[in-house]
Amino acid sequence: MDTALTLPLPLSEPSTPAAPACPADELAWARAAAGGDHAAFSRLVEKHKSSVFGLCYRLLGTTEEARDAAQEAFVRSFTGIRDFDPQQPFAAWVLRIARNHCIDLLRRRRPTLALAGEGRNDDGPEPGIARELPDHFAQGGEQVTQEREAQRDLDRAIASLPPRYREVIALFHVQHRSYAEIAQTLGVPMGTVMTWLHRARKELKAQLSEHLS
Amino acid sequence: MSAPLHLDDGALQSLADGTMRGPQGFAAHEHCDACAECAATFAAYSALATQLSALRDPAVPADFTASVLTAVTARELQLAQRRHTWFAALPAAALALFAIVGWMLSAAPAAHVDVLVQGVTVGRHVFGALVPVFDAARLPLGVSAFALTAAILFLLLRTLRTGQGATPVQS
Repeated sequence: MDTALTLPLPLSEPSTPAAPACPADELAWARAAAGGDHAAFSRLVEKHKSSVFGLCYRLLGTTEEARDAAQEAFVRSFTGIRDFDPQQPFAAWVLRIARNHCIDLLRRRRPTLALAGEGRNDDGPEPGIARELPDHFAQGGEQVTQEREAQRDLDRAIASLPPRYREVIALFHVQHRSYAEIAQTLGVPMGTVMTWLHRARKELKAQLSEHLS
Repeated sequence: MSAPLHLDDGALQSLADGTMRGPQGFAAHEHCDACAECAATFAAYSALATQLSALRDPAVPADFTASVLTAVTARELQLAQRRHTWFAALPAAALALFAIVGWMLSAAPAAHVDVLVQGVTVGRHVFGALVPVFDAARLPLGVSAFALTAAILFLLLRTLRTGQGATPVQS
């Protein structure tokens, strides 16, 4: 019989770290944008477009949908920027808008369209375009192919996770955000973020056991 | 024989992603050195963390910011038009109300009001007393009704024109 040896950290962090506030430059841009300054808003878009687009991509699975959803998130953030609370970072706020919009889109999808990973454009070229033949020798041989396959399997495995698990994986591992920032973005306690992250990784480990052994 | 002790899954994950540090991390590493099962799980989670950290999102389209600003401008126009439609609806509603009341009181005020306040004796008595006053003030009432209508129409026209001419803030 196995008995778990439990360690106190980090599952129960000593204290909740102070939530990060909005950086001064972003605050100035947000205030200017609230006054109708498009140039100031475009700076905010430039700064956060990668993270917003990345989260949308991880949630929706295709670049086209991610682009539309990210655009809509930024438009909504502009029209509602007077409600922006400067006590929180702009990134957390706009990511929350994007996330809520993506969840709405996922709910509206028909079940047949919600298959994980379906429609990802990394599986092949667009219709009508010939698939590029891989040049294994030029790219380092078999190892490169294996790495690509592993990446593709990982992508698929992530896409098969429930949306909330995909979110935490994207925010923690791809965007390298802290637990506190993720909690702020998702509007859930930090313990919930850690639980989701642990469950997501456990599921990924089970799915990718071949690659991880 | 005592049961073997193992680190729980959460601890191994935290160890693998680097969030477990300090004395706890040291103790966990020591345990993994001595326990093959935990070491294997730790290695698997470490490999997973490495693969996850190597993930890259697709590049953001080059014209993304420009398309956002275009969409923002379009949304601003849409919102302005919606706002002006509402503003236009208010004087229109006032005009309609005024027209209905005016029509009711114009031709045979006593009969209309009698229907309106049917069953309310007091109201009828009060109106009966006011009929001569209305009759006497017919001309001033007509003039002020005309003036009020003109004012409402002017406001309505101005509001609609502002709504159509709303231009977005240029970046």
